[in-house]
Amino acid sequence: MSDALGGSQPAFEQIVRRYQRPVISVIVRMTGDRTQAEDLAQETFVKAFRSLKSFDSTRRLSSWLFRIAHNTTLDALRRLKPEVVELEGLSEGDPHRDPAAPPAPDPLEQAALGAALNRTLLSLRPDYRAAIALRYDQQLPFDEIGQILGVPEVTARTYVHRARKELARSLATLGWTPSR
Amino acid sequence: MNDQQSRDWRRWVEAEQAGEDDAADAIFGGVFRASAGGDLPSAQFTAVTMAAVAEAAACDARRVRRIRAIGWPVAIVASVLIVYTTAGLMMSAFSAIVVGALNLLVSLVVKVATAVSAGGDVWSIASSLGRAIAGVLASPSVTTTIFALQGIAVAALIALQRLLRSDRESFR
Repeated sequence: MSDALGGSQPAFEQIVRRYQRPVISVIVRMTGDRTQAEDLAQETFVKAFRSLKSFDSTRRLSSWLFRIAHNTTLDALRRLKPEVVELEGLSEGDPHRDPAAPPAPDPLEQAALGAALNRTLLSLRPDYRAAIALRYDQQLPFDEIGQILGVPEVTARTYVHRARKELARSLATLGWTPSR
Repeated sequence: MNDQQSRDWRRWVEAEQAGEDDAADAIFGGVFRASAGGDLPSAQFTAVTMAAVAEAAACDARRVRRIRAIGWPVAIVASVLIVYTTAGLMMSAFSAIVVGALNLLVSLVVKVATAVSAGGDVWSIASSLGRAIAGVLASPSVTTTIFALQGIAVAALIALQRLLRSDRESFR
């Protein structure tokens, strides 16, 4: 770590190897586009390398990287408006589904639900998407999510709460209800 | 959806509907992670990223070298021009300082001598000295000179700090 902070590229490569997957994962959740996520993750690591001297070594490196990734992704989303998707056609895994009927035990349903959840996530505002990804993919505590998003802990908690509620409401509206 | 996932899904929705935030928070994690499509980076990601990092580092090093190569001659020429064009002002400021210092010295001596001969106590002498100092500092030429010197000192410190930082970066 100290070698990387000194500007050593081989040491920084170890950091890239260690954190590439979580960083890409968060960005994919925010953009919904895997190819774009890899480009933004690459941009994130280049920015991190250039800013290594500003890294506060008393903080967690992962939080710092997530913060850069979050800001980089927000900038990209602003450049590539519109930043949210419409929910029309979200039940495309089964276009003939009756919204009132319980879901059929289809082996493809898991994939369809995953797609619906991911696309519903993209209908949320970007800060909410990031909060959800950091909380449930990376399993971070609220104070750390707040540091990454640049908001107080209580606001991070509110983001996660509201985002989860909106997801549940949107999925229910689209007919994704749990089978009994 | 297998039984466990279906159960988690149902418990999450029920917890949300019941307003049980902690339970919903705990259960939703499993539901959400199960929906992930596997975010493994492509095989070339590390190599491509490190190539971009190396290019960025080389670009930064070139920029620092360019700034240093151009910066020193520009700084010397600018300094000469500044000294040449502001020599009159600097002489004026220097004379203002000398005159102000002499006035202060004379004023201090007179005030102390007057206060001592009048038999004043320590506080009256101190207040006389304070008035003498304030009188000198409050004159427009001295005040302007002090502010100008402070401005020059701040600019010099900033320039020095930037030069030292670009040197440190170039050794990386």
